[in-house]
Amino acid sequence: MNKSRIDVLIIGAGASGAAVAWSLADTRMRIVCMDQGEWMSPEAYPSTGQDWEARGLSDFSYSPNQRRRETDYPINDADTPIAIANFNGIGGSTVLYAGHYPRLHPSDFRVKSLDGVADDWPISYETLAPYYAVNDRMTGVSGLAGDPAYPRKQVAMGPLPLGKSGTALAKGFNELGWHWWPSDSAIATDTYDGRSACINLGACASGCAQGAKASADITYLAHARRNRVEVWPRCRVREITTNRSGMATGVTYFDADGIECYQSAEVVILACNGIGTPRLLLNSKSTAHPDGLGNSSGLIGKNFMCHPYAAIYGVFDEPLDTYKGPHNNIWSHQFYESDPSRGFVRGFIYESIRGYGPLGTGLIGTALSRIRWGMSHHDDYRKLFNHTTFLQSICEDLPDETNRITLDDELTDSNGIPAPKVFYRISKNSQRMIDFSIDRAYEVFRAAGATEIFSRNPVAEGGWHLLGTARMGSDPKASVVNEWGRSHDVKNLFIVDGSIFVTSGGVNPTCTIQALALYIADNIKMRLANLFD
Amino acid sequence: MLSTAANTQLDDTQVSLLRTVAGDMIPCSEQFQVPGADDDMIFNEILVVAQRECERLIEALRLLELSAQKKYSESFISLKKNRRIEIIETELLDSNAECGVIRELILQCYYRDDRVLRSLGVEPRAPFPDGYDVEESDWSLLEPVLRRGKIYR
Ligand SMILES: Cc1cc2nc3c(=O)[nH]c(=O)nc-3n(C[C@H](O)[C@H](O)[C@H](O)COP(=O)(O)OP(=O)(O)OC[C@H]3O[C@@H](n4cnc5c(N)ncnc54)[C@H](O)[C@@H]3O)c2cc1C
Repeated sequence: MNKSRIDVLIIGAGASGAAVAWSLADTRMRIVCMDQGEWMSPEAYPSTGQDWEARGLSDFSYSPNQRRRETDYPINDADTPIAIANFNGIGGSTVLYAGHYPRLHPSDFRVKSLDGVADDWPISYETLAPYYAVNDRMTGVSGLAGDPAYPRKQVAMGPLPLGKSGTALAKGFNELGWHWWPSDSAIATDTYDGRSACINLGACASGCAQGAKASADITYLAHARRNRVEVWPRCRVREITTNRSGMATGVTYFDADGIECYQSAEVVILACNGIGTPRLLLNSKSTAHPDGLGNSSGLIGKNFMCHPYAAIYGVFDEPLDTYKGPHNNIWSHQFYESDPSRGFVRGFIYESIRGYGPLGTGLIGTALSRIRWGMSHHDDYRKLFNHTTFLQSICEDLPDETNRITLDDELTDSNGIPAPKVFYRISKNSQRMIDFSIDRAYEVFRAAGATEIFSRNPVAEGGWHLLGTARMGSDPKASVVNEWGRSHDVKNLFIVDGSIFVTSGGVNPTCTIQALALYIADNIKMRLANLFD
Repeated sequence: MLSTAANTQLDDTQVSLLRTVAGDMIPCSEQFQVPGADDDMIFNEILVVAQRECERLIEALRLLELSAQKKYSESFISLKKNRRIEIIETELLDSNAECGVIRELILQCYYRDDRVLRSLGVEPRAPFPDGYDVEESDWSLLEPVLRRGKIYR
């Protein structure tokens, strides 16, 4: 590692860090992207072994507290009904993500104007549209053009197969006259940009051994490194340092041997996700920033949103293809836009998930008392296995300052850095939305011919969308970063991850997180001459 | 034979309690031609995997034992099978999240056994590199959706 002067230091090599690194590479500045995690080896991903599902309970668990890799930090999520899910490695949480890849809707940027709740974003869908397009191309999005839920957009490749489960659900939606469409997915259905086409491994959410799923390590970072961006694995940042005038000067970090190091930088970009970023800012206290770096608004860590999910299961008489093929299948935006007659504001999408493998069926069936223990176990199990598909409703969370990330008083990571602590409650509005989404999903399954239907809410392990904890806005009193991602307080500090979301929308966020990172990178490039003014 | 190398952290009483629980939860079935979760090979695997979560597991076994004592003033193993299953059902599903570790442990080792997978019609192999075939899609199903037109604001 050449530790001399760095122009741009990006902390976090996940979805957003990788995208911003790639975009900034054409400035020819010296760019380093640090991550506490390491490079992943696709040949070691779970789908290369018969115990592929079991590894989701250990070294590929969604929960850092269960995974407990050396590269993880613990998260105190005892005070939330939804546990936090992430991955710490080069590629970040996209190593595990399912690759559902919807954009926000135009209306998501105008929530206050349209529905009188929360705040409008300081940018519009139209501002992001060109960045969505570049991002779709870099990621290699598969799907079908013409979805009436969105303004016109291109797709790079044909959609993932409907299969038996998708076909059954599509017929159910048609029966009711409701919207559905093949999901946009960050999964290649053809060879694309050096990646192989999906071969239906069915294990997307534990790393794609085929390389068909667009995790950020094999998309943006592969290109960024060819363009001289340096990626430094196993660097865990403890603190962003500042000088007397309150500008960021660099970081202190721990290397793989636990040795504390210092690295200076002209510009620091944070891309540690909606929990890692507030944690680091709150850990970066100084005389100039006594409440944490860039926290004059007092909003760092507040307004945490994570999309409460419901899962609704339908059991069919005929065998499906639940463990074959990518999880992603179809989505429905039928209930996305606000309708006051429903008793809640804002909305949700359904994403359909093909189903579970042998272990997943056992875990969910026993947890929901659909599969009993003892002699009845085998009969119960066989009714569900490969006969159960499901819908998940992704419900929009509205920002609420009491939902927040703070630092834990006692819990630390292996380097002694204070760990984050989560406080989160599902709002009444969200709960009404969840209940509504469950009732409508029952109708879909009935129309599709399911013989048994059951549900759970919230999906307790589903805190995978980490948003809102350093929101963007033009008013420094009401936001942490400005409309192009720069800290209101520290003029050489930027945030590009999900923390900057003003509202959550009711769709998976990563496509928007990456488009935002590209948009912020472009703003940095356009303003290089007077970036710190 | 069970390998003793695997069970370094559970003592003998805990191992036999766990084995009884495993066999109660998923017994062998002649009808489906599958072993129970207390089968030698499967249980050996259970003991290997148990090492990762040994502390939680010991606590969960203690809770099962406690529950048997409280409810029937007898040790778990000496209870009749239907009573043992009743305790497993209540402890695993209702009262103690701590006992979830037993459920995860038994299920993950059982549902990757070759014999069990074959009986379910699943090829006992890693998904990679062969993958699977998924049937072709009929996109004409989208016609009614297209006819209804734009739905965004
Ligand atoms: C199981 C699962 C399924 C998901 N499915 C979907 C999906 O289908 N669609 C979708 O849109 N989204 C999905 N997501 C969410 C998606 O992965 C995230 O939205 C996205 O990766 C967030 O990008 P990010 O850049 O904000 O952070 P991340 O990708 O999480 O990257 C943050 C990186 O920062 C590093 N870091 C943090 N703190 C430090 C520090 N102090 N020092 C050094 N490095 C640090 C971490 O190691 C990590 O690599 C899923 C997530 C999970 C866990």
